[in-house]
Amino acid sequence: MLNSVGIDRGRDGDREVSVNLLTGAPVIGAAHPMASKQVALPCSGLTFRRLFLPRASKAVRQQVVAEELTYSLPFSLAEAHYGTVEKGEEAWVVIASDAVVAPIRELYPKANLEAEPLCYLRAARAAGISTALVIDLGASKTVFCGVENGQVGTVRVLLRGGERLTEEVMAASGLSRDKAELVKRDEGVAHKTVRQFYLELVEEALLPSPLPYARVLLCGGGSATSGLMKLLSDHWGKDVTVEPFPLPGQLMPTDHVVAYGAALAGRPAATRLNMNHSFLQSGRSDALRWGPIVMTALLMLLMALAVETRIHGAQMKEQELQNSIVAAVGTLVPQAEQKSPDELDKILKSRLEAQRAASQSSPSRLLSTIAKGSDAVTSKSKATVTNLTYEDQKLKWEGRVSSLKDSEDIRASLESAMTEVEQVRTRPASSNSFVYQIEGKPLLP
Amino acid sequence: MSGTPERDRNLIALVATACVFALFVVAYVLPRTAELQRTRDSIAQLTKSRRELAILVPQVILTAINLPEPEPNVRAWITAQAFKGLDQAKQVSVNDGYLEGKGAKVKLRKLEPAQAAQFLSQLTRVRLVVERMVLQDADGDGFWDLEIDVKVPELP
Repeated sequence: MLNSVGIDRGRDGDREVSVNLLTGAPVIGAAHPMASKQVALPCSGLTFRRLFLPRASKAVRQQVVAEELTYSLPFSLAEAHYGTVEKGEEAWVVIASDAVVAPIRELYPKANLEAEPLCYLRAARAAGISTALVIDLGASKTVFCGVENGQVGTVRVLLRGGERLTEEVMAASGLSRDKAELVKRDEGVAHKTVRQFYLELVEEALLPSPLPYARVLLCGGGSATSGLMKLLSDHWGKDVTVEPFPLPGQLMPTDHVVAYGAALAGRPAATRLNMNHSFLQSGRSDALRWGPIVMTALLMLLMALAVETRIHGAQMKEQELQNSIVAAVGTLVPQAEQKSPDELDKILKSRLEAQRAASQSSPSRLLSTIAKGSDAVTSKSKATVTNLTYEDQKLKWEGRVSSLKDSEDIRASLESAMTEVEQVRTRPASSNSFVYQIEGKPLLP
Repeated sequence: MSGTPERDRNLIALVATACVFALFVVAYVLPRTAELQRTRDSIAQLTKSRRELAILVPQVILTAINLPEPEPNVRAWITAQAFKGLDQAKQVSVNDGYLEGKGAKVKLRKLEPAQAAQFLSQLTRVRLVVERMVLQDADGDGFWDLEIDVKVPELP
């Protein structure tokens, strides 16, 4: 099964605890296969803020957090990591400057960053505790973390711990460091300096009085100090139970609370910080932006669809027009489908011209024209036709008339049967008559 | 390049996207748009041609000569059909080899007007055109000499 590994970077080395992702007892050390790794950032390098957020989208809420932090931090947000735990309209924000994060990132570049207070919270929840005061008595610092209704409440960090206590014992008793360390462990709070040191820590923590927590959970190396629990119980009274932080399996409250709490962040549905650099948190991420790429791909797809649809429509219309043309001229021109419209047009015009020429020179047209023309001539007395010549599509009438006027009348009458009618020649003949010559083209049908 | 690796990656992705888009436009959109324009031009040309053909086709149909060709050839057909009712003496000549059977030159003498009209009327029964015709009554006696060259029209 996959495991989540929590790491607590202590002064005397890293402490690792692994938990199964779903269930089971924790194990000291890094268990494999490993699904995720969480490193706890020490409280001494963290700043905390509690913000009220509007009921808005995640992006807007992130923007509000970024704006609030920009104006309230003593250092630039651009040089910080931060993470939020949101509940309703409230966000608990943990901020760490890049100077704090950088050395941890160098050691664990792929690990998730967690904050110590959240590690206390998860460890307490795992023990079924929703409200308590956790006191972590470390070597260099002491943390007072209030867990209230399953959330992180007050966090106080005092930069004094076991090392400072050893130094104070050395100063008070005039002992060497090793001997002072032995006195601290053996005598515990029975030693005046030790007792006074812990009582001063509690006072400096500025905790409310009476203490609003029914349980106080001790952890860290200092929690093993002899008589400390009784000292604190006497200090807060009988309503407060002071006890070691309850941990499962072989885990020790003096060493493994933070690492265990960090490991629990890898479990599904665990409250986690997702601590990242401000660039990533504020939405101004420089991660690969797929939006423009997807939009461009979509645009290309739509353009291709539009072009193909138009081409297909145009080709259909083109084919329809070609089919209609072939259907119209198919009976007149053989293999019309193999000819271009221009060729068809040329063929039909040529054919029309030939047909018109044939019609104009047809025997029926000639006969009809002669019949009409004869009527025009015979309507005049003493007018005769002696010669009819048809050549080069021109019909020439020749005959005799009694006057020039009759000749002109005949020419005018012939216009009903011919076009381009003209008097070619009129000359006097013997016996008071004239010879006329009129020519023209038979009318088209 | 300067900046974070993520920013560089974004820049590279944007430049690559722009290049792909430009390539898409040059290699696909422009040729296809040209193809579309060519098709549209073709449609415009076809529409114009169809409009012209819509005028031309009825004219071709109306002027079509729906008559049979003289069989087996013009000379034989005239001899068999057009000379009916004419005296043998009036048939002066019919040229056998004119246009290799696709035409004929006919000379007739001393025809009465009715006979001339009948002869010409017979010619209207088949597909023929008159290339040349001379009909004359030179001496004014009422009888006409006829010279006529006919042929089968060549239609494309």
